[in-house]
Amino acid sequence: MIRTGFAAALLAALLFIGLRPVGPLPPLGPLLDPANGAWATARSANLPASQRVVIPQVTKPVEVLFDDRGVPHIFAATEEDAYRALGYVMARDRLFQMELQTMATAGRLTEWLGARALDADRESRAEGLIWGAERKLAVYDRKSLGYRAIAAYADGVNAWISSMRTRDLPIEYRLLNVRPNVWEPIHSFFFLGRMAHTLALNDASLKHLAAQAKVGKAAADAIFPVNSPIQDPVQPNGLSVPRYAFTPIPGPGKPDSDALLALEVRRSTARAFAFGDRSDDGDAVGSNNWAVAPKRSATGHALLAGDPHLDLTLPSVWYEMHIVVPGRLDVAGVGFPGVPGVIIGFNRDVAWTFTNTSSDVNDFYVETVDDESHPSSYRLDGRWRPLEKRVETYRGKSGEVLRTDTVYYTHRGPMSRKMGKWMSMRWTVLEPSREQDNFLRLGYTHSAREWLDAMRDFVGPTQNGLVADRAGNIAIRSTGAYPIRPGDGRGDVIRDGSVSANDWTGMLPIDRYPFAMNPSQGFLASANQQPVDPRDNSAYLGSDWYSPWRAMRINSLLRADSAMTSAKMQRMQTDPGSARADAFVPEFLAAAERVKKAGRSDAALDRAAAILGAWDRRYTKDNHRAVLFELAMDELNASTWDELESDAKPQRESRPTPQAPETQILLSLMRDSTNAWWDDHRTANRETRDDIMAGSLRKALASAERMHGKPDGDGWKWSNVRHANIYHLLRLPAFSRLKLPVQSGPSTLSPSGVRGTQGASWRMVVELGPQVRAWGTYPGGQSGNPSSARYADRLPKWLNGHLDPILFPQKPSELNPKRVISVLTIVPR
Amino acid sequence: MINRLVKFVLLSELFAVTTFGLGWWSVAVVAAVWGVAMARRSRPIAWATVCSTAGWAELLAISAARDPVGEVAFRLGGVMRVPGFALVTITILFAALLAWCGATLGVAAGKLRFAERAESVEQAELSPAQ
Repeated sequence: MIRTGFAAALLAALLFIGLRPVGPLPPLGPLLDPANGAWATARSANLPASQRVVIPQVTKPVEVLFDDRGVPHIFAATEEDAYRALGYVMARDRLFQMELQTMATAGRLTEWLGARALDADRESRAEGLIWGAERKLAVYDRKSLGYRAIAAYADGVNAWISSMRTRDLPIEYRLLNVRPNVWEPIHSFFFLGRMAHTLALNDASLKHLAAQAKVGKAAADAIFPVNSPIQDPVQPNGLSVPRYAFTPIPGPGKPDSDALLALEVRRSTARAFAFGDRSDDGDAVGSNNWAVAPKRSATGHALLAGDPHLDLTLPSVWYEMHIVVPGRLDVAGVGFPGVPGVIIGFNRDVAWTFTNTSSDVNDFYVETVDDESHPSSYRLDGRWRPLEKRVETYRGKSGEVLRTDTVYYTHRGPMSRKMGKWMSMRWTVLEPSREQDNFLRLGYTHSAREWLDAMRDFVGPTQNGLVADRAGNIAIRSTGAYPIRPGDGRGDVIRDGSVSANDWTGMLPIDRYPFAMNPSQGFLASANQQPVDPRDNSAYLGSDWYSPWRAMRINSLLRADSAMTSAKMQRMQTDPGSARADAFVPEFLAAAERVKKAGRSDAALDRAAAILGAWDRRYTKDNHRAVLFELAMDELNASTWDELESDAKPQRESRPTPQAPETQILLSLMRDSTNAWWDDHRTANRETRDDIMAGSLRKALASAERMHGKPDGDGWKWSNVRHANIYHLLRLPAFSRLKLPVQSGPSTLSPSGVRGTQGASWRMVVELGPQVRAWGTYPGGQSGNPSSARYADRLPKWLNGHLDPILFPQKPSELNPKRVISVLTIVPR
Repeated sequence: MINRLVKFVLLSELFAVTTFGLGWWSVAVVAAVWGVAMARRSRPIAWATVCSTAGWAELLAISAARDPVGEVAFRLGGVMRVPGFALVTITILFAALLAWCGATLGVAAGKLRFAERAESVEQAELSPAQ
């Protein structure tokens, strides 16, 4: 009797934990089921050797051959059929990633994660990305290529979702105890909006205002200038070396209380609109691209290389594909899961890639409303205009309402109330535009000129679009909408929203975009530096430019080699050299030497200088000196910009806080050895440049020995210090790949930061000869299934800087059967 | 001996097939039915428990023969903060517990039914002929 009672109780308990989530655990029954549970995900880890599926909307059979890199080669009779097939295979490989991104952008994560995601969801909805996506969708002609593609793509995604068996459900859905939703065409716009958030939503004025509040306007203007003091721009300026435009930097002045108030408003507004700092990891979210004209390539063909730097995630942000519609389209490269088509890639005639321009494309306006608590209209030119309202409802995992918000919109964009003020934001990314059309049209172009035309009306986020063609043309244009503001044209101020005269007056005409085609220097390059030398083009494009270290390194390597090859360009993408180290190491050594000559040296400084002097300034995995240099740079930043710190906590150069000027400003300051900025206000003495630099070296050596042991020990080995950390989208360590040694450092061409979570998300090199040849890889794999061999199979090569040859068959029979691992045939009903 | 082997194989297959077709919960149902049916036989609960583990182990083994089950164990175990082999053990144990509970309840029900039937037969035998 007791045993029976115990069995009944135990069965009840087993059924309970089998059917219901307990704590962080999902229901264990469906998870542990060996036939249909999480174990079954092993079955979908490998692609079936051959498979035939029905997608009702397909008009003619589509053949999809997967090569041994997991890349689908889609052969279809029409573009729509090709995108249906793409939707199907992308969903099969990456469904969870696609939907997670959609839910995050739509502010619906609470439906999966519960109330803990409420803040993130509220930020997403306040940002207006759904509103913007709806505006974009509304302007699409239903017959346009872009719309037909996203609709067909949605057909394909939904065909996979509806045909999924329980055992096909990705493991993440099982862990979250959720099911996939129907895919809508607008979801593709959500992802583009998400990317725009990453690339084009930053507020340069935060740094400037923070500095102004601490040290006054003159000093703030000098350390956060509109123009970079080192000019090596995207649009060549006719010089064969960087132009140094150093100007005297006034010392720190008196705090500006007005700026402090403005800063608080701006900061809270930035938080309301979910602004991030430009990067939490130095310039690891930057990108490189360059192209070489035939006259400077060994083969006499144009060459193009691109490596966009983004968050490194598993699965990767990219999905590689090849789409063939005979007689119309033959394009290969990478696109975003959730979006149809190739974003970066090549066809039989043209290759292209992008870097982020980092221009200033958003503005804030203080609005006057009729009711501070529940506004219904806002004032414009003396009249009340109705506010557009959206009631946002946040639901929990069971569909229960967690909260509702009202989000207001003026004609400019979303409006949010912070610090007692109603602020609206206008942002080019939310404007009605047709980027999807732009991206898809690129695959149809046959020359650089046609490619540039296809990008003419591209709005945002602004991109340095680089193109090369088989005729030997190379071109670059910083493409996108640049708002024209009234007054001084600056975008880093808050404007009065009650007058329409403060609105944007238009967009910069395309002939004023930074642009170059077939320059006499024989190459083009961009790396997020200021795109045009202000001496050549004074238009205000932004003010928050990366230091041009990567651009300088690329340009110096290209200038030095008039017989460039695709192999050299592949090696360049992980080049361990650093223009930043080249600039600062001599400064440290010279300062140490001067201190020594002045008789103020000591054993620690001499030893630190000797160690640093022995460094070849290359961030190779086995070097033992970069550790000292990076710590010295941290100390130098902290000591120099101490006046900007609110609580004197040390700043890390590789993790710039909103207060830290770019290192190019620090280099500029080197010219003035007694500038007041050198004085460490935390000490009684008045320090000079050499004092600070020598002190930074001493402290760096002490820190390095404390943290990493003796200089020649394993602790100082770069591969034991700096890593790539590639997290799964849910940040589950078991699905992540962490502590991966990389040949990279701050501002190398393959930059890495302290956290190691950002970096080169795709590397591609294309040679545009009679037959286009291309190489590429990304950190991850084509499959989103963590137990698949295709989940992270590209990582070893990526870590070593090796690229795979990309297969580019014109028809199925051209693909070597030995390299085909799976054939999918999609037929109409 | 052969009979026992056949019984083992058939019952294990029954657990595997019903799990494949109906889901994890079917283990308890099959075990309960087995318990009812075999209530008067030798060790019905042990049979159900052992055969359920064998059935689930077979499903895992079939999958492991062609798919990366070990990788799933390693990764999913990592998420649940247990070693991969422990996750396999937990899975098998889950089936065993379901089967044990189901069979125990089934045997109890079976014995109860038998007792009731025996009682009614006894009463029928004791009552005077009509």
